[in-house]
Amino acid sequence: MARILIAKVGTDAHDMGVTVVTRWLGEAGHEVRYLGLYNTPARVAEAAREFKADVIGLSFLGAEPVYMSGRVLQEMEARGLDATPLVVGGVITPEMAEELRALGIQAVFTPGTARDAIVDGIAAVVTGDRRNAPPGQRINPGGPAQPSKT
Amino acid sequence: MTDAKLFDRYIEGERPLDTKTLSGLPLDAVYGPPAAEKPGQYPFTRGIHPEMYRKRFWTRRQQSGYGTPRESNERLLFLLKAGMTGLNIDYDVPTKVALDPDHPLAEGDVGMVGTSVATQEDVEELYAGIPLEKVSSTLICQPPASAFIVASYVLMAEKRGIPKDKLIGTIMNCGFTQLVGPTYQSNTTFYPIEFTYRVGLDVMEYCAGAMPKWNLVNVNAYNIRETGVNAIEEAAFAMMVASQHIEGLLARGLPVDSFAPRMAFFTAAHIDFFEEIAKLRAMRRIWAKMLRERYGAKEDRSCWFRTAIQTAALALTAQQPMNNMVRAGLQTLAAVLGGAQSIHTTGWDEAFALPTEESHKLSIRTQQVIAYESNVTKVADPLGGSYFVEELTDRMERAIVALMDEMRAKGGYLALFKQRWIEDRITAGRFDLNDRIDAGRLPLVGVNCFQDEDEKPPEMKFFRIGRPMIEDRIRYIRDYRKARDASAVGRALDAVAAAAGSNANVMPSVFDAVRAKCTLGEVGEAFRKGIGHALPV
Repeated sequence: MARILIAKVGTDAHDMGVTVVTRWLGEAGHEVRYLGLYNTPARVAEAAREFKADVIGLSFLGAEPVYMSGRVLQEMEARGLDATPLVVGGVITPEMAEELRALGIQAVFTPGTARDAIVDGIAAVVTGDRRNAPPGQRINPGGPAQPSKT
Repeated sequence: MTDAKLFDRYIEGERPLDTKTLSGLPLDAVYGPPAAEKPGQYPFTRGIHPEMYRKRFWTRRQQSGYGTPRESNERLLFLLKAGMTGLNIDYDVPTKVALDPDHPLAEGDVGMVGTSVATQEDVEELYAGIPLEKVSSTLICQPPASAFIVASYVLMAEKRGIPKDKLIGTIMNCGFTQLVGPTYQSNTTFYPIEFTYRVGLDVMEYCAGAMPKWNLVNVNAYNIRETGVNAIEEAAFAMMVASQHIEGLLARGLPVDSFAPRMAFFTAAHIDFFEEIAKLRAMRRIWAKMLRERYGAKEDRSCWFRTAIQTAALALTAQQPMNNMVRAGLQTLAAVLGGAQSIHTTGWDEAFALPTEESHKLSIRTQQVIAYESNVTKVADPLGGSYFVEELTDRMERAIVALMDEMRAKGGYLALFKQRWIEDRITAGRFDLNDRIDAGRLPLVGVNCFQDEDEKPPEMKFFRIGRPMIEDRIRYIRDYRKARDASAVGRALDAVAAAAGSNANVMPSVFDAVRAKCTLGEVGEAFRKGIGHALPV
């Protein structure tokens, strides 16, 4: 199981996604530390170093994820955390997702990504075996689940 | 359309061209048995006006704001030309929490989800060419930054020769709900909640005395809802927040009828069509009874639950995003049938980013199709008397009132916020919501059912703001600070800090600070100095 540090950076305080994902990762057996809102990039990197994080996750809604993720990567490098993977989730356009991957972000989770896809995706990033990352869980391609007849 | 006409739509109002069906059958303004409650009658279940949209449509009021004030001004004029009838200015988060663009915590967020405003000059640029006495403006800002924003707006009007009592609009000004809803950390980091609450009351007290046509608070039920709670919690929390504001103003000796007519709400129209309509009808009834029975309001206007509505963005999906147009159309119709005073139809691309000009215009067109073509505007409260809608209204009212009673018994809104009771409800609500979506128990078309096997990221142009704008804003604020009388700035900020640390209303000192060219961030810092509160960074 991995040590996962999760944070919001800057002044963006939309935190539904990040609180839900934090809980899901904890339930999957990981040791998760959620730093909360209003962190500077330096504070995130510093906390990752102290926590000895295996992976860092950032969450965005309405901020500029590419710029902010780049700043966090800079601060990580300054602390010798080059090898620690950074993953990003939130309200992110396809264009931004591409730029994030080009920047070296190991996984990008956009709105509507299912629980298993996030949990398995982060596990794959930690083990370094990204080929096994599932391509987004599909629940019921044919229609909504029908209530069971009990 | 001439530019003069462009600015007259709010004052003149818009209404249906006739009162007939497409086949030519004449329609009365309202239907129902003679003894039934009518629209415009206490407790206003059926609407606050006797004929509702037949006399005047709701205001088309799309939120807008990004980048520099000059860029936002261009978008405002574009929207007015497209038929928007009221302004709704959103500020970026640094502005809302009173940080200047060069603050370390603001570095990535300047101009991102709203426009960046740090000086009175910025406010003037934002409203360049817009007649403040003709076009109503909603200013989306919470205390204590709202004190600076109101002072800047009033001083801009003064410079243009427009008296304060002619200004029409709204300062949102709710310290419990405005930022991202009532989550705990977001509302306690920059200022203690008691200080935020108190400056909110300072602003309300100022507006109640000086700006009779101005709405002094708008309780943001929409943001409450978007944290993940249900419709009953949205309504009950919002009513209890309003109750907290009312009791604060009463304790300052203001008569209830001197401010209650200028209190308003901003609610969500989510996707459950009839529940949302019933919620709005119930909220009107609850507000009217609360104001008359609990707070002794004499005037009917004090008992009017007036609400702006935004169609819930939480109902929108990034998968198959064009489905969002259909969702927003349904939600807008629910808002209209529920009796809204103004509507923001959320753009179909807002599951990804701020709306483009094109999607912003589609939101206005959605409302115009409902207003001008569907004829639902020709009869007030057309669903009134429906067995189902009336029953659901009654049940929503009972459920909301029961939750309000529980909250009152536990000490009221502020106490429950501080005890994190509110936070716990939100957390439980959002976990439940996401678990239901994830398990497929809450169908989301395109997300957990009816997915496209080969769905690719949409190939559309999303709105995005360039990094150079942030550098410009940082340069601007640093230059601005150099070109002013530093000793006058220092004296004004000392006075703000002194007012913050005392029991006095902060507004006079904030007005003086704006006149001395203090920036919003400096005033915010002076507040913190006055009360001895430190930022975490």
